Amino acid sequence: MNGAPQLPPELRRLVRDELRPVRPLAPPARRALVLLVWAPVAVALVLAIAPARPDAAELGWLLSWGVVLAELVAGAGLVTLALGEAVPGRGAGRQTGLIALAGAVVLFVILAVLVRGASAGVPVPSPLVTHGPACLMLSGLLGLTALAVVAVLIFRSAPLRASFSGLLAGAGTGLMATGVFHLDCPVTHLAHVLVWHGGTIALLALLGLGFGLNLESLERRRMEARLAARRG
Amino acid sequence: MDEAPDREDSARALAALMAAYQGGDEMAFERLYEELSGPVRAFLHSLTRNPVRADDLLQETFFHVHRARQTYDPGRSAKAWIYAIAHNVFLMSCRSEKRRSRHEELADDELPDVPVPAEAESFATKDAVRKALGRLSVDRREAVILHHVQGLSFQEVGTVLGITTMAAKLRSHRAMAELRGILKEGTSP
Repeated sequence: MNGAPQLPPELRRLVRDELRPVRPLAPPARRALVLLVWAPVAVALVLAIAPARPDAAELGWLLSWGVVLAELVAGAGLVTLALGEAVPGRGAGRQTGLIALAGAVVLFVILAVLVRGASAGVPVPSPLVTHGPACLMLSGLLGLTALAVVAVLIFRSAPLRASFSGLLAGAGTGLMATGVFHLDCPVTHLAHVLVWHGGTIALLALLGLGFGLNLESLERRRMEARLAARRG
Repeated sequence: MDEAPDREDSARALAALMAAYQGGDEMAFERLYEELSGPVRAFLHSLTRNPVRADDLLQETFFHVHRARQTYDPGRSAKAWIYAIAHNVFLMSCRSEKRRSRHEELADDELPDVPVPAEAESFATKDAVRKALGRLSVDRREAVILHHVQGLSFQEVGTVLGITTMAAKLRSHRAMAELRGILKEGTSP
């Protein structure tokens, strides 16, 4: 018709062999709702494993459950951005993503300061060390289960640029896990919360980034192999 | 004057083709390829400035269109979705070839026969505009080509490049201003 390139035979064959009806993916915000299932399960698990923090009454509803909700909602927001970023033409953009990440960090710090102001928590001999690794491990494992779910959702979008998406997903699930873990950890000392709980968020963000980079590298290698095969 | 309704009709037709393709219609994919392979190839050509590479990336783009067809939202622009995939494929190939220089310049005789914006043609020859386009950074060249040559709206350009509509508008205007500057430089004695 208009001198458009001919459909290459291998592409025609691929489409013919693999073509079957697909249902369009739901919008990112709706897909992120899957974490609505994860959150109550995670809360129930944390409360079943360990008793609720002893200073819950002192903190009141707002600084106990309110903090959990705020961090869950903010984390889910980051996950929504991550899922959008994984779909071509649906991302909010790097700038928006970075602003959201910074906002999440600020929220986390503000909540930690507010909680510390309301309760001295359980005194520990060395706030920077005592309970720290246990908190990191338990909340990290909790976050890892959420990250695994989100990673599957990202993978289903067949993204070509997954690293930023992975970073947002990791930070989001890390924040959600830290939020849930707030119900259990009785140490409110800022050194403990910022280093170990913040460390959970940073660790999961790095894991998410690693996942995304691996996905990108896998795609790149596959593309190189296809190009090499095409050039004979 | 009739450009806007034409554009809307074309967008509706492409969206219908995408929906049929998602429903498993092979002919719809072929029609989609027929409709968009030319412009997408021209877009990739303007970025890579290498016809062989542009052909390779065109195939890769439609390969990914096929693989990620479930990610197309029927309520959105099919054109922007496909160009976003082409943009990502180009970035991936740049990383792959480890030569992601954003300001690389080619010798004049290497400049390909890429389409040039009609607006720019009014103040210089086609060849001069083509050479000037080659001197723009990839970011700016993309914005100019997508809006002024491929006819995407600023909203669609923003979607493709992962930036806001305002940023797309700004980038395109700055690119046109730079283009004018380069051309003026070239014509001044």
